[in-house]
Amino acid sequence: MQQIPAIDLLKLPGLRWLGRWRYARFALQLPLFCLALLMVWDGLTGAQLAPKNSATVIVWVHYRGFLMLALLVVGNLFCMACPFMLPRNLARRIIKPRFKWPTWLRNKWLAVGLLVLFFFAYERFDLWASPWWTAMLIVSYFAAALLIDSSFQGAPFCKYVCPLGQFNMLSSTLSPIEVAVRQPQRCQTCETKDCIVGRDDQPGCELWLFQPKKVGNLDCTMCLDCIHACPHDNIGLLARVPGQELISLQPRSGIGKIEERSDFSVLMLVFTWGALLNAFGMISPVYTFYNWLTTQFAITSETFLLSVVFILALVIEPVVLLGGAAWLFRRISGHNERLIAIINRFMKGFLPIGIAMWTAHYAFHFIIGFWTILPVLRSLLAEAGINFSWMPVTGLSPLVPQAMIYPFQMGMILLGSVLSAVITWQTTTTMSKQRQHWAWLPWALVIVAMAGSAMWLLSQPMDMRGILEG
Amino acid sequence: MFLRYGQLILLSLLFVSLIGCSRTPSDDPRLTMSLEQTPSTIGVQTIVLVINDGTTPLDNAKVQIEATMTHAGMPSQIVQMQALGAGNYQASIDFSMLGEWVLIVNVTEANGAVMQRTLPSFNIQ
Repeated sequence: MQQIPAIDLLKLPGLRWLGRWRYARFALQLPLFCLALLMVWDGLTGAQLAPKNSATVIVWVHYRGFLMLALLVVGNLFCMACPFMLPRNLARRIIKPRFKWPTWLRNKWLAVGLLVLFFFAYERFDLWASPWWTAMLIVSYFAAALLIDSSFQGAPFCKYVCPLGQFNMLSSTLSPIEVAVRQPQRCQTCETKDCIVGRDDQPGCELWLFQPKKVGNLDCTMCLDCIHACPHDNIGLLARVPGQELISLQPRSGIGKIEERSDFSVLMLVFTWGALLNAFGMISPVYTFYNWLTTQFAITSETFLLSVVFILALVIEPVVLLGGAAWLFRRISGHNERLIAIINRFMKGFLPIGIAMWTAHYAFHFIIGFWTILPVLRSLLAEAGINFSWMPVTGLSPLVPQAMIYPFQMGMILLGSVLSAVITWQTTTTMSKQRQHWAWLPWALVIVAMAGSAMWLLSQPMDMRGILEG
Repeated sequence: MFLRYGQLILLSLLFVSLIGCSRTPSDDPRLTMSLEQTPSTIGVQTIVLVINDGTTPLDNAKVQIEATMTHAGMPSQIVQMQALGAGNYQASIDFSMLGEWVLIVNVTEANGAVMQRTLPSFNIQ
């Protein structure tokens, strides 16, 4: 008897149009495209004080918070409605890309480098405080997407380049929704494979994910192409258990086995440890640490000091923790793989705690600063000659009582830790048949260390980015 | 194709940069302002602002001060300053967060002239 998933978003009243209307994604992209243009214009020409400019307020307060909440509540909605793809799609109507993405770049290494570069630039150039740089970042995204995807076939920008996309796709592993086949049996008799090759003017999956063999949300931008291309209406937005794909050991279409890919492993490491690093940059002890480094090295260069912090947080600390855990695991379990191979297998288990930390962090700014868009909006409307003087500009409260925020953050960290524990335990049981509890213990200790660090970071009075004292 | 697209992108960036002229009003250099003491510690602090019109203290003006942080996401405090005479104006501000703050001063002179100035940012520790 065939098993049909209980919930398919595209079967719900009001959302059926998403699956049927060819221009559904365009309709979702257009508002964000207009918003992006507004932010670029305001960022370049408006007040260069972050709280007074829509570029900085929307990108660093609203977008990031809403992104994480949307990922956890629904799925990768922001890739679905990505405004950077709009000019690229329009350009492709005129010029068909001729080149194939180089084989040596068909991995995540470039994205890893760009993600690290982005994290570094964010701290070094105080992107969150600069409307001009925020606007230029948006312009750069548009330019890169247009340049790369107009030159190379498929969607190499999303799959191999976009750091934001990688961030979203890693986070969407905990989403409750995925693009998936409704009835797998139907695909067995399909000979045209339109979901990947496309039909008529409708492209198939440009990220080379073949639906019958697709596992989870990794590398999926939820662009709806496969849904529109399938002539059998056999692809939907299906509900699933969040994190389920992190337990799967199946090879993934267009990806292979992430447990055997060091590029994916490093991407997940940067994502996870980057969550702690990004929060560390916000709290007062970071300045104590900088002062200590300055006295040790007698160098005051911010680039140098930041580089030291990045090397410690993204290289030395994870190498020590993960390398130590892998070494102990090998000793205890009798497993004979190389340490790097063991780490690759366990790395996905740390994603949930990374996602939890990003969510706790970004949701905080979103909740505290949600209404700070009102003064900016009022000012922009006033410039357009529209008087909204009734709109409050001061005394703006958080979205929810502030007392609820810290418990929420702790809850997120605990939930992420539990999920990480479950996934690493599952990985342990598949890799080791003896002394499983002892073999799992080193990984559990790493999770405890990370959770403890996250809780400590979130409990600190924070600096620079507007966290209330105490 | 690379060259064509490269040129297109460069032209686009150049265009965007060219339209990047400021929409913010230029500052009125006639008025000079300074804080009697720059705030530096967390908590409620009374600040005194000295305003001069050339070399003459500016009195009888309505002065509003907005305290905000230099990053997005925190609500501002907007306070009407109390005139103390001799060009001095006073207000209490709650510097409730650590980090970099900035004060934006809005002055409405007795003759109706309005000006805004952003004072140099400072750190609350």
